[in-house]
Amino acid sequence: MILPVISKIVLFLFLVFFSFISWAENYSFKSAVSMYGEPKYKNGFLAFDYVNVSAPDGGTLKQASFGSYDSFNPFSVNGISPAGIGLTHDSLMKQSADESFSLYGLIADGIAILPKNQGVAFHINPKATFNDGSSITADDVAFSFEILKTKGAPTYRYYYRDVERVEVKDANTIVFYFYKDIENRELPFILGELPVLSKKWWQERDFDKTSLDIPVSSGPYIIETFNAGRSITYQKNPSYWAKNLNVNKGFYHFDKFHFDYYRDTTIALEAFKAGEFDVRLENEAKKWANFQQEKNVLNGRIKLKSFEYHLPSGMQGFVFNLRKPLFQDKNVRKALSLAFDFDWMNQNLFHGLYARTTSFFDNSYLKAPVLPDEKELKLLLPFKSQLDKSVFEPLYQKDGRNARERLYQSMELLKESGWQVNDKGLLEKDGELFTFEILIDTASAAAWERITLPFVGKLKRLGIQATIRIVDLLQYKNRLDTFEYDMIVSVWGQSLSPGNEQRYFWSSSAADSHGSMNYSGIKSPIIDSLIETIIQSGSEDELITAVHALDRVLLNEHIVIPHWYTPYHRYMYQNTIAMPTDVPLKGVSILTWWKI
Amino acid sequence: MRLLSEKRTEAFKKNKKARFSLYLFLFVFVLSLLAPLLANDKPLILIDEKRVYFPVFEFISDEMVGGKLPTKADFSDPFTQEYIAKNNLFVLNAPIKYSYDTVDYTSLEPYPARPSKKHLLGTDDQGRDVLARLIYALRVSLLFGIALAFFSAVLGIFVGALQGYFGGKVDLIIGRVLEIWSSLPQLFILIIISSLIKPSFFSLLFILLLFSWTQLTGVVRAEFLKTRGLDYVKAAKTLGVGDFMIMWRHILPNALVATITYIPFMLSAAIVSLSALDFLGFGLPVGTPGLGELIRQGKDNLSAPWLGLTAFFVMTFLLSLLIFIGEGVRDAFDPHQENKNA
Repeated sequence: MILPVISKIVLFLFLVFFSFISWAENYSFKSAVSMYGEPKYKNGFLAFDYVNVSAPDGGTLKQASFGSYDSFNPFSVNGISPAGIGLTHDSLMKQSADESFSLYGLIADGIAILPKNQGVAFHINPKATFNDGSSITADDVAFSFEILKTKGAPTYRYYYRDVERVEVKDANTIVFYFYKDIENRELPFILGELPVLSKKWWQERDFDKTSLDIPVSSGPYIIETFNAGRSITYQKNPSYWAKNLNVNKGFYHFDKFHFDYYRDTTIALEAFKAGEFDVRLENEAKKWANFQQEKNVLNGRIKLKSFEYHLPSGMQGFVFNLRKPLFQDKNVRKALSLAFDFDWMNQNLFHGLYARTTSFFDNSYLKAPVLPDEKELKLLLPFKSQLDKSVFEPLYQKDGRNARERLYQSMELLKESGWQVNDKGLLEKDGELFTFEILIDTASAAAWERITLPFVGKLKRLGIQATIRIVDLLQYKNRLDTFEYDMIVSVWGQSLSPGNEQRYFWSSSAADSHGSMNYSGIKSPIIDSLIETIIQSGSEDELITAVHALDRVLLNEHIVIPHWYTPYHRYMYQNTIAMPTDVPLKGVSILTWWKI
Repeated sequence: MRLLSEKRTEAFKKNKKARFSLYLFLFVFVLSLLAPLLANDKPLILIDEKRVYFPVFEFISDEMVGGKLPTKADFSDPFTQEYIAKNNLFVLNAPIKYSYDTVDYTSLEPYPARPSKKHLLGTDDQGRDVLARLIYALRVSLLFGIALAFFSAVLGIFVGALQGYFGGKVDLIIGRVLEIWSSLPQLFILIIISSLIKPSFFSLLFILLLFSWTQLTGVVRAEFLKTRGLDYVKAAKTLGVGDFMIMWRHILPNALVATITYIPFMLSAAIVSLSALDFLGFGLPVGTPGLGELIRQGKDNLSAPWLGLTAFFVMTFLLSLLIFIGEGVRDAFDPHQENKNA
């Protein structure tokens, strides 16, 4: 009898020992993480502050979209997916809109960042299901990661390239391991935003092929009906498991989202006036200003509202292609920047509604201060010998010169670089005239033409012959991918947590890689090193300092003639729509609106 | 007996509507050719203490009118205008003080600015005077239309002549090629080509010519087919006159008559197709004044009806003139009409 007892004890100890081991392998999952400091919302919070949980549910929100669509797979490079397709997909975790970068549990109810940033583990909520009722497992997450990395749009490849391998521990636990010595603090957060796709559904299908089969998906809405390329309607997923989750409380009041496709923005605006759809975002100052006097606005049927936000403006502007010999001279780039007359444009073309962009991170605390502080100097001084002296001079100084005096200054700069005006009044150097082409695509031609032509007119005063070339979208994209242009109009968006994407925007390697967003082709070891400092920065303070330094150096390179930005999202909506009064840091989201 | 051509001219002259349209058309055409003198930001004559200048025709640098830039002066610049006023220089301005690309820097009203004394037809959404642009646009459209109609006619008559004169296999092959050619979706091909070729006046002329020359071949072919069997042609052949000489000297004059009635209609078609390409943004280089471009501006700025209305009325006016002229010519050449008149 003793033996069985002993064996029982042994077995018990054995079990305890092994369970201890497996305990040690367990991760200390947290339901929320913040990139900087502590998340604002504590465990067990009921809803985000900027939503209205008591707003009524129901109704349809109609919106307009443009062009066409031919695929329900928004993650592949192939095909164009319909507007609102994001409503059908949930990610592992969800960002709050009133913090710079904090994630809260959605499909994953726990996240654990491994010590020394070796990787990140997620715990999948056992209740999480796809819309066909099957549960979401770690397998699905691993599959989603792999397919996005191998067959998804190129941005995913950039984002995930520091992940060495993925391990599925059990049905609800998955761990992503990073390459050693990668101090990419953002990576766990980027992975937290991984959309989750159904392995069962996708593995039988070709991910690259455009298709209008409605996929099994994880999001709060499902595609109800669609008329390929013309319209699409989403309805609430009746079996959505996360309806009452705190991160979703106060969202998704509408029963349905409907999008009609228009070919032309002017026609869409007319349709909106006639009440064909409920809400539109207006980016064009001209239309916004003219709309104030509209009959339906005056009688209150249509409401107009500007929502302030404090996200980085990003940088929109005329981009010099530094791969072209003409623009390799910084003096020339500076001279052309001086010729751009924003003040006149703002008054006469934009009704004074815009602010000039002065930094790559304008409208936010990431914008470089006038002078570098001590911490920033520490980053910059090692490169002092390679940097222009002007980097250390104060930024954003109003010089009080008028447009004509600025042209004189441009002329001086051009002369310094060896350009001379010939007897026909044209700028010339070594027998070559100063000519270049500004490339624009047909879709945005109407908007850009009116700002580019006055600029071309100013350049003419300097004896520079700039021409505008309009090409169709496809050709435009091809020429962008292979960097075959002299100058384009482009936008680099920025978030409050800059990171990996900066490599894609400014690094030397991106300058040589086709399809990257290093449109200017800037190649500088200093910038490369500052980008790495940003990606590896350990605290919010370090990050901000590094971004300031990058901003300062980039501004000094004059790779772009900055345009303008507006610190508002301007919405027009029918008076049957209502929204929460509080606007979070990152701006308003239609998903929190409702129908009266 | 009066000459046939005299009779026809008479018949055309009798048609009041057509005659009046022709005079009006010629008037507009000549006026548009004078565009640089009618609408220009540069003064026609500028006199300072040294000599008389003709800024429209010669190079005047900014330095010569008070600035510091060695490049061309911009007379629309308020700074330059002030200098001229201050120094009491004698200036004779064009009737319209704006060229097609002159931006009015002095406006206090955001663009498009409504019609006023300064801008009789208002400005477009880039601050350029609509009337000035219209005059230049007419010039471009008409010159383009005439060039296109001319080259289409030359090419069309040549191919039609070959077809009709030689007949047989030549006729058969060219005929089938023409059928295929003219069943191609023209507009789409035009859009594709013009997105590949850098658009300019002549490249667009070439592109539009690719398709527009086929209009005349049918008529000319029929005429040649008919005439080649006539006795005088046979006689010429027997006397040993070469094929092309016969075509040129003996048949072409007959065939030309039939083609002339088509010319005004070809002209209006050419103007319309250039405007269509302009409207779609595949036309002449950005910034070139064009009727299609004005229509597009009207479409993009519905709150500025003077843009769309101007484009509409001018287009209607011009095309109506051409149609009336065309009708007159057709009637004048119509044998039944002739009998009636005789």
